[in-house]
Amino acid sequence: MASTPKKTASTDTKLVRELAKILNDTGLTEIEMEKGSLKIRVAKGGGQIVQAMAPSPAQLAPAVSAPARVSQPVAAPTTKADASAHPGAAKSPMVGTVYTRPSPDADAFVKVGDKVKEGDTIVLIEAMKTFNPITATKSGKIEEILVEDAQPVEFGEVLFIIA
Amino acid sequence: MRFIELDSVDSTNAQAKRLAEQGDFGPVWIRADKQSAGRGRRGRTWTSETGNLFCSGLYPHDGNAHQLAQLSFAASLALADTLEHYVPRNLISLKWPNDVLLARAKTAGILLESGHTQLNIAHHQKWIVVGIGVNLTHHPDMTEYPATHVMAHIPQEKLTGPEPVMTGAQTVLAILAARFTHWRHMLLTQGFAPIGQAWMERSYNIPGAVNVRLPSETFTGEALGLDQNGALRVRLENGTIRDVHAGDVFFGAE
Repeated sequence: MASTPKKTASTDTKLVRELAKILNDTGLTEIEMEKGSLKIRVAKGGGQIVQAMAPSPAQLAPAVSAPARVSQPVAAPTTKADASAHPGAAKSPMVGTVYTRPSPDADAFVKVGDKVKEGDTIVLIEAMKTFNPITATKSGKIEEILVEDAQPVEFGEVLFIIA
Repeated sequence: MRFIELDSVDSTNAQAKRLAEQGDFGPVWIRADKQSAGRGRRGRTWTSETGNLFCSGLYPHDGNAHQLAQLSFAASLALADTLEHYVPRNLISLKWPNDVLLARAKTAGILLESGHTQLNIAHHQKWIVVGIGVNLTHHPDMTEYPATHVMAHIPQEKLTGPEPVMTGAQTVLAILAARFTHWRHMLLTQGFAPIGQAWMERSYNIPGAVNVRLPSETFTGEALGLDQNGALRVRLENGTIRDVHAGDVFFGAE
């Protein structure tokens, strides 16, 4: 498209001008752009900045760490009563489709008997084209995988057991 | 908003995930002129021709698992808003869960991936990567679903007037990043209801006939709307209600 900047010194000025216009058009208050060694920051002039489009930008307490893992929902209903009572059972935090492999023609993330360490991806769950890895909450051995590749899962359903 | 521009990359989603693994949780948007390994859902190749937009937003995530999936709708609304800068609003429609259609043809793909990075023995930070590919100047032929590109629908007067719209991928991304920030903020502060409502107003063929293809089965019915989490609510011919959370859906006479 026509306005893509060329990499010459003279067009850097053009780039800054374009970024300034983008600021006006988008309601962003600041653009910081990194390209290789080039770093450009364009911000709306001093004083109070009035947001034109967004009521207020979405900086909600970004860096506070979540205290607990999501894979142990409280009082989740399950049809696999025995498995769910197992201390190493990992339950689905959401409704969706579970995948035991990264893509349809790839090998499974893990198989029964594999040693895993905390944080390893065991399965993926997709809902609304969002892919969420379900990871091992402790190191150990995969004792059982209770789901098939590409099957639907319910909230709280047991996915796998680590012993 | 922070932007990182790259000449080429394997995929912007992969680059965003690498940043997160190094402890940078955004907000930041990464854009590349070229992608050598652009990916769609479940490993499908995403054709990445120079001139089109390939980008990924990386944001910290402190909400629950349902909210991760709901960001899909925030992303599609953000892209619909962005395209409104360029093409007439009545050409734009949304197809469940996050396809943005132009004149009923696919013009973009959105794929989100979540993850977390261990910060120390006791804490980890969750994050989300929003990968968006937009056909700006080209679209692939011979796709399963009809495809188009944005430039083909921009009215001539927008390009030749005294202040022509800037159509470069960089500009399109800046608008997109601002609009995603807006919808994400709304989701985090007001929940899914206003997002779902805004999405329904622009949805394509809801209510209407739908064919749902899951890995294990295929069924047809009438799409009724979204449930409180964003699942597609479908009424089967026998009256049963099914909520669809993942899968390929085909609407109307497609």
